[in-house]
Amino acid sequence: MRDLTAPRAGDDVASVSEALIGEVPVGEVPVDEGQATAAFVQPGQGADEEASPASAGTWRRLARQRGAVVAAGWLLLLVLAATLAPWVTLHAPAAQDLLHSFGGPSASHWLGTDDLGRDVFSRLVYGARSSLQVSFESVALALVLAIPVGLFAGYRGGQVDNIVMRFVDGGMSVPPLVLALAVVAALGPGANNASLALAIVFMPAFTRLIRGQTLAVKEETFVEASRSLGTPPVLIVARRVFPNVVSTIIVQASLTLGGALLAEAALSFVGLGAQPPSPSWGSMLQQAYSTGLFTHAWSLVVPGAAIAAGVLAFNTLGDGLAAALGVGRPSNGRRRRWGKSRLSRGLTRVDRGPVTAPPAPRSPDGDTSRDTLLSVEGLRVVLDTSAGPVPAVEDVSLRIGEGEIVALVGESGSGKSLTSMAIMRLLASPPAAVAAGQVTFAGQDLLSMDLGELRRIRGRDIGMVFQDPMSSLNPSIRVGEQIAEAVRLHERVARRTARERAVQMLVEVGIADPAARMRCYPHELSGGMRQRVMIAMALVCGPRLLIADEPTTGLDVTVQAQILELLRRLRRERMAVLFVTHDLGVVADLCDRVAVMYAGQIVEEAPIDDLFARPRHPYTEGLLRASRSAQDAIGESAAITGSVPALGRRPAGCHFHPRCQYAIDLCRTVDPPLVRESGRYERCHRAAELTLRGVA
Amino acid sequence: MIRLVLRRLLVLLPMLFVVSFGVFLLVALVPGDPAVTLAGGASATPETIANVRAQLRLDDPLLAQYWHWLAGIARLDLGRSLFSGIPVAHEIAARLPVTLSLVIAATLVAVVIGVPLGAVSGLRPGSTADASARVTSSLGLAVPNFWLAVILVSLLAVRFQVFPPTGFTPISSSFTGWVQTVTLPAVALGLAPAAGVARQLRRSLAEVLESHYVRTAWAKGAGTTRVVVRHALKNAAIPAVTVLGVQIGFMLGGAVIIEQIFSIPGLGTYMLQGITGHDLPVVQGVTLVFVVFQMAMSLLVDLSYGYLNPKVRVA
Amino acid sequence: MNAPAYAAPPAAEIIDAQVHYTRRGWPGRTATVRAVDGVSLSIMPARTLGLVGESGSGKSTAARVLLRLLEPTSGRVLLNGHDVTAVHGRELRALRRQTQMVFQDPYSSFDPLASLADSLSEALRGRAERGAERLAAAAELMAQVGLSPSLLSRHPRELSGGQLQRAAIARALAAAPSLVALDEPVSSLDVSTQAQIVSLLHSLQAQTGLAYLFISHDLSVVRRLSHDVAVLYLGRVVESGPVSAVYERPRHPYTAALLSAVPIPDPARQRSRPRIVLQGDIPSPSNPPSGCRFRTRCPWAMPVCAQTDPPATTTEDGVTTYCHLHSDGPRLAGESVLTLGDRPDTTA
Repeated sequence: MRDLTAPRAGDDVASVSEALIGEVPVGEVPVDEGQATAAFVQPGQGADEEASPASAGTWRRLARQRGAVVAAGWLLLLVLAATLAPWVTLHAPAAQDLLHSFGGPSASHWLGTDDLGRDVFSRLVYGARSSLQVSFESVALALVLAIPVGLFAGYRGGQVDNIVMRFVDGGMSVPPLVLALAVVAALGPGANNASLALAIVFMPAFTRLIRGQTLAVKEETFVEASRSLGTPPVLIVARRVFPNVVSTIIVQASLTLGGALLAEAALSFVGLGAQPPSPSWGSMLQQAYSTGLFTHAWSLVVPGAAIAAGVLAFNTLGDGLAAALGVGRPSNGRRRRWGKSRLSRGLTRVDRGPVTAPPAPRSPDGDTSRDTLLSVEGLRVVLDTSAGPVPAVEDVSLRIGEGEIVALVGESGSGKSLTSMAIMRLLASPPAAVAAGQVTFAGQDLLSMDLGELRRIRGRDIGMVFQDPMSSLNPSIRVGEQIAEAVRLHERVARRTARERAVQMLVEVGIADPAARMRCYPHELSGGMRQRVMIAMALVCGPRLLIADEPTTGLDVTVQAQILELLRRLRRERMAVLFVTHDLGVVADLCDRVAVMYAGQIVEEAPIDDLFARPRHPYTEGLLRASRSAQDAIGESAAITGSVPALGRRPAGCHFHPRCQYAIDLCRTVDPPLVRESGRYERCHRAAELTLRGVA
Repeated sequence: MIRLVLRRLLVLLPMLFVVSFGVFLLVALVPGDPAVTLAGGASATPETIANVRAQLRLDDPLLAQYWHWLAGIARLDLGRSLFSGIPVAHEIAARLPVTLSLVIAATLVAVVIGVPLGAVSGLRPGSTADASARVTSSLGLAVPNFWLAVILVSLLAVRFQVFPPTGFTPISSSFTGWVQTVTLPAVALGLAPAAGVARQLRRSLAEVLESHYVRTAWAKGAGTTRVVVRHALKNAAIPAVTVLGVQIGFMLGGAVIIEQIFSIPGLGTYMLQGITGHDLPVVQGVTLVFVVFQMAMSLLVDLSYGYLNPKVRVA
Repeated sequence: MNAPAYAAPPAAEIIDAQVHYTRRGWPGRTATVRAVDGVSLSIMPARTLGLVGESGSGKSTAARVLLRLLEPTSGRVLLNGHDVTAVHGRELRALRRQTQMVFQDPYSSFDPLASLADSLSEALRGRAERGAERLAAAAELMAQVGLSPSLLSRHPRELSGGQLQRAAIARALAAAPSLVALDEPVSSLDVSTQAQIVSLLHSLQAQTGLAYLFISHDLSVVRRLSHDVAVLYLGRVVESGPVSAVYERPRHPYTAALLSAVPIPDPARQRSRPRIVLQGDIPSPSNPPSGCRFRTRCPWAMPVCAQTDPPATTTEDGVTTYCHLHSDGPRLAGESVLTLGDRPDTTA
């Protein structure tokens, strides 16, 4: 990929704000791809969806940010005052009154007078003229030059891009203010020259930003779609690329204006900006400093405060715009609200309200009453969204016996991953909280534990494997150390012993040359190997229960087969597994019992052969038919219409009824109860009367 | 690691070439006849004009001028001041340690203030501590360093007389004297970078704490301290280091003005003398030194990436 | 299903295409990545060719060559019988409309800032000029893929994945192409939605006589829609032929492994299936193994496999296999590799 430029990758976007306020925009930080994205909650599972950037909602989102609104108001006031200066001031800015030098505030001189008795307020207002003018001019000029160059270099790529970027790099290697000073040194002092000098300072950073963004957008699939539609390049850049870059430009322009104001003030402070008699904030400060430092320190405050307030306003507006336009957010994924996250996020909040009697446990059933290892009763997980709390997992009950492999199957949005994370209390609070239910592991109540107690169970008694091994492994720690860490967290053993155990575990998960692999960082391994490392890490303490959350999703089928074989081999060691997946084929391959989830509820649970041969819930039937029709030869037609309801839009009654071909009136109004019959559970009003088709 | 250094240096060399050409071209920006303007405009005697013309070889073709200039640089000859006639390189050699010690002190201020501030708010986003840290850093970024310097002088030097208002004691002659004279300028120069570092650290720390691998650490049974120290901080530091590297560039520019305020005999005051006196060789020389300085700093930043981010090491 | 005797030329064809990238490193360490290394494919009108392989096999690259979105290092591209390898500039842009693509992730394949109407009318450029005409045509396309025309004013984020994938199909159809390349069109969708999209694609082909190139790493999904299949490994075709013949009698060990790797949703059958679990990962395309590229992971590899490229063996049911087992080795001569037994004795 772009690894050759990796050390500074991500810089492209970061450069302007780096250059001006010294900040790297979020999401473009040179952490590795994907790591920075917040995703305790899986996408689509409770993240509040935000509308597309630059839609009508932008103004609303901007208006919600009080700071940004105040900042915009202040800037508007400044611009108005500056343009209407003769009408809002009582005195000419250069009118001297030597009898009243350093006068205090009065009705006539609102902010007092300076060393020559000139009115500070009018000088401030007239000073705003030159300060703002230089800021706006320089940023505008830089943009006018940088936008076409950046778009062209980014979209065209190749040699043109190379040459442009060499110049940009060169320009950016000169400290910004030094560059401005050097240019002014050659051109001579004055407001216009200051504008020009600052434009030269800003241009490389803008070019780099726009070029980087263009490059990123150009790689997007929708640009390839446009190319394959034969749309001419000019139109692609104008209609597809530029609009997607423009919000970043707006944000950076606002932040750059703050930087420009600062730089202009610095230049005039050393006498290289606006020349007397026309005042500017920087030269006012210089004057106050050279004449009033020892006698009238107060005179230092006003011009400096004006500069600071202006810069603060531009910066705040820029931040507000960034939030409203969604700039700096990871491009491929909706970020969830920041909220008042606490460090206690290592532990999902349990808020069961006034203590209620524990729900009557489902009577143990002859068939599944192997020694229960994990039991979940009436679990309810609520997510805090912008529209208020929304139930994501509703009344889920599940039981896993010693050594049993239980599948939790569902489509995205079914709440299966949330359920598995809630058991370990690994959901971030907020937004997630457990609102009801019991989770009992080997006789211990996990939901009433504090972090210290739960820590002793996590990793030792319950291991966990996640979906995306690349982002789930720490990128800056060698994998061997990460595995050994799991040992040392739970057992008092020497570092060496822990390392030996890790090597042994790597052998067990089928990694060749384990000693060498121990020293690898995650990015040096293939996807399949990373997942083996994750499994080794989860198993190294010999847990009694393994929770595997979509462990093969995203891997190639051949690698998936390897991982499944590994899990099948490990099951002989009498470890129970909760296997979360959307793939019924994987379930058929590995599991003893299946629980099917739909829209936050378990709709059916049964031993594997029973469920596949004789499903009792219409959703299960549809799912079976859908996966078969997607796989087998031409013939079957689609089984289920429509799609899974979004969180917070789950229909009343049976959540599945709008998509169910067997629905009757009862289904539309009454939530069906979970019914047990001969070792199976289902949540359907018509389970008894329907005869549903399974696999032949 | 050595390879990384070599690769970086390999990239820097052509860049230095481009920049040196840009710095050289400043002559071309001088309005009117450069010789006349640089010699002092209309009041200049034909003699001084001829002198300037000869020294800058303004009669040669542009590329020949550049070549001569570049050849001089290779011999560490940056030309002579048009006024004093003192070799620019001499003056720079005397002044560089001063600026260097100021910028290092300011960097220290930035780290010492910025890192704890960012860590406190990144660990508890939304808390009162976070809110006040955020307000502080917003202000820190907005307040011009020269204003801050002026205020510090007026309060701590003029009113309370804790520090001397101006002047500079080199570190080589007296360490305590250096600390006394460098404190105010370093604080003025380092506060905005501190705010920048704090903001970035807050963001990246809060983000890293929501990452999948931190979730893995929790799932392993790690406690809070371990998660933060072992799993979060190092990864969160990477963007903060970038910011610090960029901020050092700002401090170099800011030093020009801060030195002026505190009458510190560093490169900055020299450059301003050069600018007000239209002494182009001085401006060019100092600019070039600043560029090399910044490049060295970004090299350091890159190397620390190599330490923090194993992906870079093998790239 | 046998192919009818067409008088028409293939809708699209690539002949011996190669795509090589040069990856620069230190002097002397420059590596050539052979993403596609001598691939020939041909698709008849109203037929579907499935293109299967793991990530890194070069299947998407091959498709982009076919669509003239990527310049091949060598080889030829033919559309409806015309050699278009040398077409460039404005002509190329017009030509590209004859082939369209539907991508894996519907969300990233639409401009997030553009409404569906905007995206579709871009696709209708050149077919309908006036705004109102375009809108009407767009509404018609929406209906054709089973979407309400009222969704035209929506933005991508406001639609579900399934809906948006339908819209992507509509956009492809808008250009009135003769071939549509489907790059993993259902892998990012939920199971129930997958089935809907597959049957939509099926009925569209029946209506319009479109040719499809169906790209997937999942052999089982390919089967539902394809007439023919080509299996790619490290930039080369290892086996190709009619779907039913390849699936019922996989002759190449890699095909057999791919087939067995996809678990079927039927516990009884799944338990009793033969399993070939390949060891290790796909090698780097910058340094492919000598001889047969699959030999490093092949359970049946023989010494000859390291020495020479396997020759083609074609059987009467139309399957072509590149494997020494059918020429030099045990001389399977077109029989399924599975006849060799589950756990092969690899010492040869």
